[in-house]
Amino acid sequence: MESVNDLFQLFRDDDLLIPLSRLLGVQETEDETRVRLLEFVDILNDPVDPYKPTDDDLSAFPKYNGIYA
Amino acid sequence: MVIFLLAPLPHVMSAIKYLESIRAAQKYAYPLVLWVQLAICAYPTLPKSVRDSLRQRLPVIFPPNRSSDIDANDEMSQDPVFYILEPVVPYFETIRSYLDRERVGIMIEILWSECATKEEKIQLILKSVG
Repeated sequence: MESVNDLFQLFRDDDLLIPLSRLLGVQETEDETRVRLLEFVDILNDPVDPYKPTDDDLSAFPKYNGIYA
Repeated sequence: MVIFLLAPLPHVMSAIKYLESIRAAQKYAYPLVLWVQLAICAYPTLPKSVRDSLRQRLPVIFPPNRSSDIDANDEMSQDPVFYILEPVVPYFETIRSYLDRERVGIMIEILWSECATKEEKIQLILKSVG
């Protein structure tokens, strides 16, 4: 899976667009859901403020091979 | 629906913060149910040999104060749930039970920004759980 469109299609194929839209805080339109999903994946791939975890957020978690797995 | 986020912990935490912000702002968004730790790594786009290896080797646990929230015998909520698992103690059978019951609809593959190729990601997963 290489793109948000692929991911979106996967949700559509599995008839999960409505649960996804509710998860992402939109009602039911596909366009809204797609935009919100893109934003979600962007944030997941590249954490930015205010969503970027702080040192305090991470302090309780172990590292593996020097990284948070 | 259960969504497994496969990504380094800081990225997963960022995603959860984002979803929590949605939840706070929009009451019709699903609640996020669980707060646990790290990512689970068995998902269908990985080669079978890697999945088998992970299933044998991946040690995961829910934090002790949350483990009672999860019972494989309970009917699973229809709400999306994010399990972020701590690789400490074997707890994978619980997840397997969800998989076996076909409760798990979606696995999201998040491409790790630190890795250039899928092979690198797989190696990183294996190192992380190995």
